[in-house]
Amino acid sequence: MMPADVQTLRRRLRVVALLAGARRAGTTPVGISQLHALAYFADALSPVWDLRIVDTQLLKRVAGPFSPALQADVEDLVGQGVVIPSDVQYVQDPDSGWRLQAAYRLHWSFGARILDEARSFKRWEREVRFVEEVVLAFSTIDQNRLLAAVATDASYGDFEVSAGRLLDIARDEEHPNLTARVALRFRHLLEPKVHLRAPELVHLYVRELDRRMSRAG
Amino acid sequence: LISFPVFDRLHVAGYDMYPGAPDAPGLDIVFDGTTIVLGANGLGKTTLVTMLFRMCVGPAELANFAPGEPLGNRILEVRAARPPERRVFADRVADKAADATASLVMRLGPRSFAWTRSLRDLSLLELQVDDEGQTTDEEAFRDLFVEAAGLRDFADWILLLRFISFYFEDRGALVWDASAQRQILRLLFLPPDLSQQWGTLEADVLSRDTDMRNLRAVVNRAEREMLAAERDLEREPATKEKLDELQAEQPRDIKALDEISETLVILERDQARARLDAAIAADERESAYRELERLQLMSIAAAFPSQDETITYLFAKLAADSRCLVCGQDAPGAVEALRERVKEERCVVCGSALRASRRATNVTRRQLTRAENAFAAAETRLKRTTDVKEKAEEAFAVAVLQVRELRARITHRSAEIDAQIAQLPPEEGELRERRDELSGLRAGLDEKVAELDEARQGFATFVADARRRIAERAQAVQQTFTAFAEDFLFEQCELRYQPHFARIGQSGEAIEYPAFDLDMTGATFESPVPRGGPEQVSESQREFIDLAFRMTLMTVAGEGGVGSLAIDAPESSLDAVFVQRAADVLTRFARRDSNNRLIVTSNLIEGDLIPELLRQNGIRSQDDPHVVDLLNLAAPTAAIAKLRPSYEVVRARLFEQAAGA
Repeated sequence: MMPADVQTLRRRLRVVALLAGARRAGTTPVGISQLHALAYFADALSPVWDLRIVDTQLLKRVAGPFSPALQADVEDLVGQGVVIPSDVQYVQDPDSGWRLQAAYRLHWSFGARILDEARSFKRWEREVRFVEEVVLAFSTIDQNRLLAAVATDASYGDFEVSAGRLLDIARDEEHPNLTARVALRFRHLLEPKVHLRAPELVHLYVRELDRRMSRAG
Repeated sequence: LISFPVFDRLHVAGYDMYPGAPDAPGLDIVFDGTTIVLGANGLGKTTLVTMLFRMCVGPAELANFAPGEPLGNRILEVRAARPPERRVFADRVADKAADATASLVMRLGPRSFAWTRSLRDLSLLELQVDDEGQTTDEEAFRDLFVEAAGLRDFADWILLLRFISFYFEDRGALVWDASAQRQILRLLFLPPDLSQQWGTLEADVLSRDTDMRNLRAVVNRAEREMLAAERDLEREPATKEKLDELQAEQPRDIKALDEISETLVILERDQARARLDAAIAADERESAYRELERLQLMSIAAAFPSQDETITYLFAKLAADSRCLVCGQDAPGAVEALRERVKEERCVVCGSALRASRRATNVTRRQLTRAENAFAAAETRLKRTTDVKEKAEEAFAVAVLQVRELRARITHRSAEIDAQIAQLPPEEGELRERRDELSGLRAGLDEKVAELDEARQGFATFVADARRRIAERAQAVQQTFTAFAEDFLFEQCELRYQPHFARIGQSGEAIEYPAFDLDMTGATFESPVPRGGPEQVSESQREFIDLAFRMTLMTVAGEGGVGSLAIDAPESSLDAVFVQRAADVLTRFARRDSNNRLIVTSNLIEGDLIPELLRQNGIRSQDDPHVVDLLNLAAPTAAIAKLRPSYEVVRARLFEQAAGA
């Protein structure tokens, strides 16, 4: 199998896991912006779980993260009947032209089959669990505030990267990206008294984002 | 915040180039808002702007600085002006400006400076700060200015004037000079102590880099001499041959490593740029795709017996990029059949003829064609930028691999040479001594390289922290620039904070410095795309982009947002609409209640900008205090002496044009 296919499969599995997580959290259907925001957070927080980032670079946009490659995969999943779209419409964004607006949910019988298969492998079980954990953690935030959370995020909100420039969340080979670094810092702060596990770090990071957003009003 | 100079008054006396009027000898210019210096070739327009500059810096200049060239990697130091530079005004007049003086009154923040210099040699004759007399020592003058401006040292003062306040004819564009930009951003946005520390650390790395390279040259020479000496010796052919081979290969690889390391910085930059271009192209393709998809959906919707969203979605996808979402195959035949049914106004699913009401759609064929063309163009661009990106990534990866291989080979060969040399017979006493010496030199070089790496790392860490401080102001800079640029240009023009990698000195890892890049739309780019160099925009755009950047920095970093801008001979080949916009912005910058100063020099006959500026500033004649009419005030050139009436006609026309513009 070609590496590009592996990448595509990983991305599709992420989409399925994201929508499965949303189903568990009761936040379906997931709007397109929210889906891309969650996919971004899953990438940015991957190092916390020692997982590889799927999309290492993305164009920083004022309107929030959007990966054309991820969207293409979402649409392929729609074509395969795995993902069901609703509220499909087109909106004109003053900064970035025409954009698709839609909400997605998982066709559960297909989705469950894919996830069951993935969970039968230790490596992929961990990946699915991680993505679902990210979605669950972010479900504690009002879904309409997910984009505000992105803007507050340590990496996406880093003012060293302007809108219209590439945000590279895997640039530094020696250190994780800023988002993961902040999350991992919770562990360093509490050790050796308490050892925080990776899922707890993700939840703490989301709580920290929420706190910062509330503080900023 | 930094205080930029605000010029209030210039008085020139006893200078033959500016004899002045019979009732008012010399030049006496009161700066208030806009001042327009009018003249013809040889009347001293540039001399006047140079005089303002020289008054501020005196007999000093930036070491190793060449106007119009990139600032580059250098220790920023002040050098004494060379004799011809000191005589810049003296050499223009027959009496060598023996008794000529210039006096300038200027404000820097809350402080007021008034001083006089001799135009014979730029020496300081008198200085008052806040109406109090001061010593005329040049060093004391510099200290006072540096302190009042809020800068680190006098080199920064010269830099500030050259890159922001004075817009000379031989200027470089700050927007595209990353080396000058990082120094300007440093001096504008870091407090003086950090700015000082930057300079100290940077100078330390640069001087260590020079020392290391000097020592490396000595080691290389010693190695060559050693090789020659060993060649002369009779010894076992196998050892000799082996050593010859090793010692011939080593300098070649060292040279190759130096060259590739240098290229690596460029390749990394190319790679970053190519990745960004590809990401922007993918984003644009997405937008073009959605527009096409939307129009097709609207068109198809009218033909659909069902409004089911999933089906609509699937057909739109199929029609837009000929790909079936269900099976993932390319399906041009199906697309064709679908199009036929749409064209023949039949249902796309069952082929039944539709009733008229179902066929109603607001989408015209023209809209669809336009969207199809836009999508095709976006696809082509994405493909091209992706190809470029892949090639750039490959080139960078290959270079990184080469560097690793070369480093490993050099280290390994050094050890091999040492081992071979250690086996040489003891009778070669002198040679052994030289070998020991060379070995000592090599060890010294290694030590210097390690120290340099450490110093560079320390500087990189410092710059990373400084960069974040500067980035905190990036948004203000970007927004202010957009406002200025929008007024100057028709294209959408944006400044983006984008740190740049650059090497400090001539060796080692590149350091990430603060910098702004420019993005602009164009005839073939709907969204702003990066413009990496001045050659990527038109001449007039280049000029006004740089002016907008300078005005931005003055507004954001300046105390009270005020300062002076002296523009020597602005771009004259502007079209009428552009001229009006440029004059609007410049006039607004220097509106009389803003405390800003705008000084513009121009030939009487050049372009429409000056008439428009005169008009917008309500200047009706050459006698207006905002006009410096060198035709009347400067010593006439041969052309003026001979053709004065013609020049006066041109001048009169200029004001007529201004009145009617």
